Amino acid sequence: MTYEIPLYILLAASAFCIFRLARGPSIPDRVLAADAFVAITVSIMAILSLERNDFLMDIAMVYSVLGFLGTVAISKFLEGKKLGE
Amino acid sequence: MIGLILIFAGSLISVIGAIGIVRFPDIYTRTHAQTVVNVGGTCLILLGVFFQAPLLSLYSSKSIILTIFIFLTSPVGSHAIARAAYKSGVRPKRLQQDELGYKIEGIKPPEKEKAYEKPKGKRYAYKPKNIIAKAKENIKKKLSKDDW
Repeated sequence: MTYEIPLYILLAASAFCIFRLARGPSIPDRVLAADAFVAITVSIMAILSLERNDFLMDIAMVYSVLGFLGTVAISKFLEGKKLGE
Repeated sequence: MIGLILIFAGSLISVIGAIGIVRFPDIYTRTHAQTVVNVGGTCLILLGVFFQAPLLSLYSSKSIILTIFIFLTSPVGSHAIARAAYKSGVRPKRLQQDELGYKIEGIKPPEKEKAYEKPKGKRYAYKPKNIIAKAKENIKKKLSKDDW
């Protein structure tokens, strides 16, 4: 029960991130909003894993790695249209 | 109890950072808000989960590992985003002088006025009597140059 209030607050935060994801004027804005959205989702999973199953923490670990890799890959692509350097 | 306080503080901080992501005018300021969400929000919540979980179990050690991972990778991601934004042509708003832009595009920056240098061997540049007159002339020149 006590974990519901932070969950609702985090839901509001992810709604703000989705707003910026929908109408960011440039592509790096959207990437940044997606990165913040991944972080908020990881924290939601971590709170939910207290009440429910433990394996949500494993999913959160994999999801944070995927979010980081996606951010770096898209920003490298925008930078020089190639991976490397 | 410590865990609950940390979870509440982390959720409040992350909502503040998300409002900053919506409200800030520019990418380079939005990276600041995104760092607040990542480090301030998520790391605090994961620390709270560590305190709420049974001590010294596999589960709590996973949350500590995730905290360290996010703490390390968040600045890397935001730096890469800002660099990509600059390289892809997004300029910060209200920019006064863009020195990195001059360097990248190969344009010479507008020269600054050189500060006055004392010539060697002379104690004063001007004779002491003339200093005040010269200063008055300089002020007059500057006043005539600038549009007020």
